[in-house]
Amino acid sequence: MNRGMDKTKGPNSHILVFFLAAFFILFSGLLFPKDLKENALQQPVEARLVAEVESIKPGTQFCVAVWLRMEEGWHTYWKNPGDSGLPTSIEWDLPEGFVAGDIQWPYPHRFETSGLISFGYEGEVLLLIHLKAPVALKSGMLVRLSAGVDWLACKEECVPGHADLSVELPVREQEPKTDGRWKEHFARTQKNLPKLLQQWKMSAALDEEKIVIQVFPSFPFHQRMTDIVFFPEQEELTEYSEPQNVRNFKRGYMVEVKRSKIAVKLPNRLKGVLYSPEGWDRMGEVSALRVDVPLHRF
Amino acid sequence: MKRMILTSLFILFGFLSILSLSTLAIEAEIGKSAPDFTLPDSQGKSHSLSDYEGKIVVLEWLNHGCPFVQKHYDSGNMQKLQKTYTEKDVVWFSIISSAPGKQGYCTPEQANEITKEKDGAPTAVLLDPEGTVGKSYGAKTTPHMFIISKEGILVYNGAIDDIRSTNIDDVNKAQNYIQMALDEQLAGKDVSVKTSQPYGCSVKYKN
Repeated sequence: MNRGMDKTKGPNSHILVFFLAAFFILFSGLLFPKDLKENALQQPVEARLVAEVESIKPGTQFCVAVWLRMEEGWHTYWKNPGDSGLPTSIEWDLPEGFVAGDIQWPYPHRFETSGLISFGYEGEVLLLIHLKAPVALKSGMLVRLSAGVDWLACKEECVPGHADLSVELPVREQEPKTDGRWKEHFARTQKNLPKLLQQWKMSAALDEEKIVIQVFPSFPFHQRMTDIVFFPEQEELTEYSEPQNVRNFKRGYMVEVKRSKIAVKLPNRLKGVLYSPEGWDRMGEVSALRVDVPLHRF
Repeated sequence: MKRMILTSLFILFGFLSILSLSTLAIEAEIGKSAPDFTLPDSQGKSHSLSDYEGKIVVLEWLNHGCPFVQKHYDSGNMQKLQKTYTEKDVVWFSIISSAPGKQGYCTPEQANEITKEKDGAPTAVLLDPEGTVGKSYGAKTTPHMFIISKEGILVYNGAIDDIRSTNIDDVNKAQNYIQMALDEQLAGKDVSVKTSQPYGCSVKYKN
């Protein structure tokens, strides 16, 4: 590009530069294994796009997921990241006629760093998405589903990450089979999605200081539960680092959450997740209830 | 008698400790007096908020190792805001609350060096390695921005803008809350957006 430079170095330098570059690209792995290792540490998240099924039936809905695996000590974020952080986001690039739903987030975990709270995932997580296939798909064709995924991973420090992911699935008329490789992962994730259970009656009210959530079972349920945690989906509403006050009554449970001083506008509904390690059913299989109730004033 | 004095001393002491605890827990609140503080800057000069009565003061929580901070410095956005408004007699403090050994912590020399390297233009870089001022304001992220009116009232607490990302391209697409609030304050108007959820890395407070 720079003519002055060409004149001073002459055309031969191009060939030399080319060979040097090729040499470096080919052998950098051998020459700088330590640097490569450091690069791996700099990006502590592995990402994949995976499908629950082995094929797509035209006109039906199926489930895919962004699978994230974090190195030890690192976490990525829930839809409400907490005091800091950023939720993982997905931008789809789908063939014509495909429609993607919102991310279905499993209940998060709470991380504390020097008094500040984050909501997210460590180890591995599947973020589920329902995709709807168009009717006009020809049997036998191969469909490529692509997505750009952005995340922020933090340990003590934070590293943003991005990956362009894709998965290919054949179109078949018969009912799709479950992909055995990811069966367990999808099942576990489905179990960890917050559920709306009809047997639980829920209400929420607030005053100047706090929000009070009450839950009552409409079936015989006498489990003592002292470790219930409310994860707020809405930001600016509650103080994440303040302890939550859980009470057990004869007929149900109550969780008191301190309000944030930042909130200026108050929402009409309270949204979030109520987690209990004992579970909200008699089998102890539903750990997280979805909260989406009117937010009354006391 | 002696016992009574001792008991009352005990009670008084109890009250005092409760009082001091509760003052520690008070966070900065919109519409109220901003908590006063005194901190050294990277040049060794001490600054108290009360020294700047009659001026609009911006507090910017800073950690140059944080990708959210890098977004606003690598794009030149933060420096531009600092230059624009300090020229309009606004006082701008960049505050580092990272504890020693943690990301973003700077000795005074390192703070001067990195400010020069980044072409930063705040009034001063204040050093808060104990995190006391950060905690008294409830600073949670880097960046986390606060604006204090000429009367010493907290008028803004929140994010720098409305696009939460580490992507430099978003800087120009975003609505900048600081620019908006400072323009309003300089025109003698009320701040229209007083709070927003701050976004960024967590402040690396001492454990």
